[in-house]
Amino acid sequence: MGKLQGEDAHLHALENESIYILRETYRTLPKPAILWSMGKDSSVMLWLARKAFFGRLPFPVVHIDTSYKIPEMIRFRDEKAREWGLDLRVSSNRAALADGMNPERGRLECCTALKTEALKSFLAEQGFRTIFAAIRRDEEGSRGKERVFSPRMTGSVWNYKEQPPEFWNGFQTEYPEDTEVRVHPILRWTELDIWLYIRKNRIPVLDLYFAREGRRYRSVGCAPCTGTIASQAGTLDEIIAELRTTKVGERSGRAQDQADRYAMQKLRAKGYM
Amino acid sequence: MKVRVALVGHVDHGKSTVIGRLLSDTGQAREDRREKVRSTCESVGRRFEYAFLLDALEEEQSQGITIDVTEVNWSHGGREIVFVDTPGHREFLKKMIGGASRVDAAILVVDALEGLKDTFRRQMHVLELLGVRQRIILLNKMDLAGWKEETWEARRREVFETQGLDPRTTPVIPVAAWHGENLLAPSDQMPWYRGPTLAQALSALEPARPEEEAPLRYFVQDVYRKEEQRIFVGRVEAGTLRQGQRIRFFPEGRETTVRSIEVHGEDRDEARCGDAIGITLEDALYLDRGALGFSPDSPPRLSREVQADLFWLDSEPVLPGDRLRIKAGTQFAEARVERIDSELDCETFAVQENPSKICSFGKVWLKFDSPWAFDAFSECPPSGRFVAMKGFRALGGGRWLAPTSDGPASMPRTLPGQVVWLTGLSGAGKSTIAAGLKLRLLGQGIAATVLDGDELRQGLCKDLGFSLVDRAENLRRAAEVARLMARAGLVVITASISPLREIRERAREIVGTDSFLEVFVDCPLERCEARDPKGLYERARRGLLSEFTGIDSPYEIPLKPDVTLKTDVQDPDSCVRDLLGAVLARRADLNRRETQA
Repeated sequence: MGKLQGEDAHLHALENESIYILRETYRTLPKPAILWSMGKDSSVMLWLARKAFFGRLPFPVVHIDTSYKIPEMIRFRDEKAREWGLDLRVSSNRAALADGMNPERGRLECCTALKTEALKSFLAEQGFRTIFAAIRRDEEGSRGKERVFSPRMTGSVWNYKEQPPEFWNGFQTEYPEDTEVRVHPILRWTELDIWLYIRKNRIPVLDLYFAREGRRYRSVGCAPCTGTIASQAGTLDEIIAELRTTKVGERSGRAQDQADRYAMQKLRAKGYM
Repeated sequence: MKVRVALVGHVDHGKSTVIGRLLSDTGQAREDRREKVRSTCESVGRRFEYAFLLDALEEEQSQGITIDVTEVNWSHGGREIVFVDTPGHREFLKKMIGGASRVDAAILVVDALEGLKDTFRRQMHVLELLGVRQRIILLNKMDLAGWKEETWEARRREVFETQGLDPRTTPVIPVAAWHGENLLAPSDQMPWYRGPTLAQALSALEPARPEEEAPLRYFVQDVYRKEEQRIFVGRVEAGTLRQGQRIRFFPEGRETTVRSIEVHGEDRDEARCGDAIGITLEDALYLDRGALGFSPDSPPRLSREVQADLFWLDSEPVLPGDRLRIKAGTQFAEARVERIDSELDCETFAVQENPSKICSFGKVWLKFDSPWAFDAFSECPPSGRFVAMKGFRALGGGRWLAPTSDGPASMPRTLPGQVVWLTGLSGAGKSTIAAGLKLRLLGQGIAATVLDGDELRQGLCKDLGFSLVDRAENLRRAAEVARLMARAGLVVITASISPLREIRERAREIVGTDSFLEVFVDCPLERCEARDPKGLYERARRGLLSEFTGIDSPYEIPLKPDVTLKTDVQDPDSCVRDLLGAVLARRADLNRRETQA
């Protein structure tokens, strides 16, 4: 392999760091599971994990199903889970759904019940202590403050004022027994990095990201709370070109972010991804 | 490659504003974020705060401070930059260190009116410790200083005089960040300033050069099994790793060849600095997480006692006798603070010798329970630095210093010691092998000595003759001395005929079987007699020597020696190499046992 330059060198460095983080975690932290929403970010994270462990994931893949996901996402999930031999586990907050929880009762309430609470109770039920989440610093403000290894207090609470320092290029992987740790292997990637990497490795992604009739999903979530953006980007090259010039925020189509000025901070402090 | 730049400086001197304004002026602030900031500021009746583009937490905006490190991407004129915005409060020093420990350069922001604070000097010291050599100093809020050249001149002088910086390589740029003056374009308000704008200074920065010139350092993270193969996954921290190259590992010790470089879905014959890979080896080595791979011709240093430059962030100071958990790469062990050499006073910045504690910065000796592999930071930064933890909290870190002679112990102590007992006929080659082994061990920083039979005879055993009884007593004493020396950490090599099994078994009992290596230096009598280096066989044959082993006294060959070296078919070098492998393997066992104990 010759010396890599520019974009390739940059993606190569990001990939190396993510693989290092995945392997550090698997070796040193108890009971890991990886969160997959079928979105572009967690799909890249899954790809990196398969690469880190030579094609076979040594831990389960968890999808928190709010029941409001776009049907295409579920099809994609089941197809890839079969193809890649994933140990897929799907969980929902059935009690809240039976009780009729929906975004009209309040977007933050809905997110907390169907995502945060569903995740927390599922983790407790199955005994997972270490969760890989595909968040990125450039997505939104409060995620910009995250650590790669983010230990949580009781009840998955994020104490964002007292986070452990991360020195040099190493990470703290020693925690008291039973600490829940969120691990963020692609924290340093940008939205553009994600698409460049998808293009370079031909990683399968949802069709929803590609423009149809002048609109596309920039970020994919629950159907009621995720909108499309005006776009002509129908191919990977066009998406990358669009991202290089856009001034629109990635999560502008995500209604929960707009529900309150500090919505994501509030959601995330309670244990949201 | 992107250049990573930390913004550091005293609280409220405008670090976040600098980045916010750069983003805004180059059209790289996202519209929705700008809108959010505009409405937030309007609702509380304040001017547009560029800093809020970064400080997204509610508390940060209501108190106008940065609570935690933020990373922001910015590109300008073909340069890709990641700004790492760090908090400036004293208690946030650890966040600044966390943020600044992985950057290529730093922008220090100073308030033109307030001037240099202690924070500035502390931060300069931290940057020095972290090895961040490229620096830009921004003299901010020049609008409040009336755009005056004298203010800039005075501060500039202060910077260079107190810090001993080189004005040619460290620009001091007068700016007004909120107004955008001297950030992207030369300021009309300060026509007297002829130096670079911030954008120009940024474009002159260089990205970190990976340590490819440095010696190979490969830290093993984990061991995976693929079919019958064992893959040692890890990261190349320095140097380059090639398929087919010779490699050795600490603490395992044996040398082998890299059979393949494993990257899922790729064919690789070379891995560079930073690459997270897996490797397979030609020989079955027992390796686990924490093992350090290196090229046999450039080993790391090994020692139980290491001197370090330490930074400490906890409110409780470091005291002699404290036990710290030290992590470097994947190597992780406990060490005791053996001695504190000096402390830097954070108020006066005077260096105090032999202090009783370290509050923030100082020099210490750390003592590990078993040997520790390291490089001096000045020689190989990636393996020259460490994180220090107490319990589960990372509270400090530092860099290793090159060993000097005035350590707590003058001898490089690489416990545990052992006794290598060479036995065989006179002329079999014991002394040659002993001397060769000693040299090879010393070359690896392992203290070793040859217990010379003649010297024992002249001193400790001068009351003894050469009867079988006296020879047994002579060897008993030799075994006792060897045991004491091994306990002090030496590898003791004895080279004596020691003809009787019973005598050798006694020596093994005295030394302890774990640290005793019986080495049969095997050579037929005819060959020994033909060599006869000291002319002893000839004298024995002529009847001038009695009870000479092999002639008129028996030699009982070892039944189960730990190592057999056939000096009639193997040359001395290859004997020494084989023996070295066995000694290092035993050493690794002892180490492991000691670490587990």
